[in-house]
Amino acid sequence: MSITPDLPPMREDNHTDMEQQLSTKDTKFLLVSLDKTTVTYVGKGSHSHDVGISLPLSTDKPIGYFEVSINNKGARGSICIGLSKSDFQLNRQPGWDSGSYGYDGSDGKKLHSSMLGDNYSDPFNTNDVIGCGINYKKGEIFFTRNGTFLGTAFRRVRGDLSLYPTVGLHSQGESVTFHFGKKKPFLFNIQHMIEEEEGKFMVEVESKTVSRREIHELIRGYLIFHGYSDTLSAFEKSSDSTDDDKNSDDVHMRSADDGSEFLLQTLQKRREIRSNIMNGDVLNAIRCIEDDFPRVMDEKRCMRTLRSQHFVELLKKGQTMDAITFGQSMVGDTMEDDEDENKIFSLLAYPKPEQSPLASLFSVQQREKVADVVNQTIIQTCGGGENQWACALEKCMRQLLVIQDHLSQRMGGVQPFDLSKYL
Amino acid sequence: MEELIVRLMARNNSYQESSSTHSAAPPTLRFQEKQEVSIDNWMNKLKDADVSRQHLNQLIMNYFMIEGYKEAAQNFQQESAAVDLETISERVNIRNLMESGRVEEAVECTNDMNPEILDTNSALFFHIQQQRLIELIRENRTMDALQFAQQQLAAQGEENPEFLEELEKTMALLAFDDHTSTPLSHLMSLRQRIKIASELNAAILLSQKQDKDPKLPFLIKMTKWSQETLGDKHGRM
Repeated sequence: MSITPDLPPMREDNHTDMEQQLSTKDTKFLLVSLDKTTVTYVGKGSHSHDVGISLPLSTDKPIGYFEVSINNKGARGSICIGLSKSDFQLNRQPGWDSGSYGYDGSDGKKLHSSMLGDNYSDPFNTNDVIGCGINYKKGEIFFTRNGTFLGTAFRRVRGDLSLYPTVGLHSQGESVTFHFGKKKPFLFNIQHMIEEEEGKFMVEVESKTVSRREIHELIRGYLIFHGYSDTLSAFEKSSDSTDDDKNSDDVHMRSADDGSEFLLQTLQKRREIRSNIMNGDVLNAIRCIEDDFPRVMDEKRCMRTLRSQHFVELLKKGQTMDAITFGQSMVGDTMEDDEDENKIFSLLAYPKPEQSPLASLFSVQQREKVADVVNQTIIQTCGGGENQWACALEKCMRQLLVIQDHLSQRMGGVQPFDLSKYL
Repeated sequence: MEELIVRLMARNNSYQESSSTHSAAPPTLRFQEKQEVSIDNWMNKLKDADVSRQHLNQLIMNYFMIEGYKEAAQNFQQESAAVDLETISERVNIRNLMESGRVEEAVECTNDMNPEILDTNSALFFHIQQQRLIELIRENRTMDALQFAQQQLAAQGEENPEFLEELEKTMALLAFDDHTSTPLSHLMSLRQRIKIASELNAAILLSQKQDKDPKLPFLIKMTKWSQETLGDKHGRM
């Protein structure tokens, strides 16, 4: 029988607050200690009885790992240690099925999808500490014994990598205790292995080349797209001298007519509209739009956003009566049920809206949001073209997130790295 | 740059070839496990990805600040809703104070910002105090210099033999009328000021946990790496 401590696959984030617990359907043959980390085989038979842990191994590090100390190897020394998937049946030995992996203490063989197994290492004895780990990126499972690495046991471990620590017990007197590195450190230096793995990953990433020019081109694209023209000129002034290879590929970089020409031509006008909005002068922004991008005046959503913002700005200046009058005129021209819009009217319910739950509507970020809607609308309706739904930098970052998502799906939910650290 | 993305996207999949050869077939992205994602689907995912303008602004600001595009950073703060520049300007201010010899004010500003910076860094603190002594000597305030050395620096010197040696050297400056022609004139130089200012600047940066490398280039490398890994038919990942 196998024991998987009552822990789902190794997930340290889960067991920080809650220690893993042994789970076994078997109370006739297995005796679980009060702290639920030690299990002893008390039956007389020779059936396989497993214990599983109720949590899978943690997948937030590149390697998941646990150790088991052999308190007593029992009558026949037939303890088997390994990992299994959530649907593993606890009366099977780990390693017999395709969804489990095991290291058999009676003969030192490794087992996967087989009852026979292959030679791997030595059998283990009472007082040994056996470790089992999985390298998620490589898809490899390894074992350790008394703190020594025994080599990779299984490669190409794919699919659902949410694996549960599991131990199979078969003979009277067999007793093991699970360790998850919380109460006392592991015998094997897993931290070193994790750091090495993370280091390799960084080296791999750092080996990709990105020229200064590429980075600067991305930044320029971002500044042009959003109309930050002062920043752009300051940046170009001080970066020109450092981009010595700037001109060599320029033709190549800008060859495709994807609307970038339009962006450059309209930079100053878009900038003026943005800075009006950022300064809270919505009416002036609308005036500019009417003069320079009259087509935008027909874009209902965009214009509503602008008028809503004007309403907010009036409130912000304390011109409540003006705001109400203006708000009434707005109700006439908005047909659709717009959530944002309803929100702005409820600002009126607060005596001090800047301290209300809706205070974010008064923030500079809100202004930027409105400026972005307008900018986007100008670009989409006045000649930016299909391709310009975002600038290259933004697309790059979106691409990165979506790929990370796919990679982690491929790895059974394991995040290849923590992107939030970098954003 | 647009092309970089198209090229990178093409690398994960066979859509470029397939779309040119069989123009009728919808373009697809192929994954190791025979997952197929249509370009439309992928584009929708891109549009849904959670990338906020705040994050992007921060990336740009982070680049400007770390690479030292001061004017661009200032303009950027004006034009966008980006992160506040207060910490950068405070840090720059402290650096300027040090470089112009106004050590006492620099120390005050640093302590206002985060007293731990000097508390936890005895070598840096000694160097700053030493610099203050040098400035007093430069101003020919001999009595003040002596008093300051006795009250503030002697104790530190007793604790650390290295500091004591430095202190003795600095005190020796008092023996010369013309500081510029002594063997110790390097202590009086502008370069010495700049050195200490940089040391302090680095400690402040460290305390703010600011990386010395900007984040943007790493993220672009990461994008390239991720795309190659995703496109890797053998899927070593």
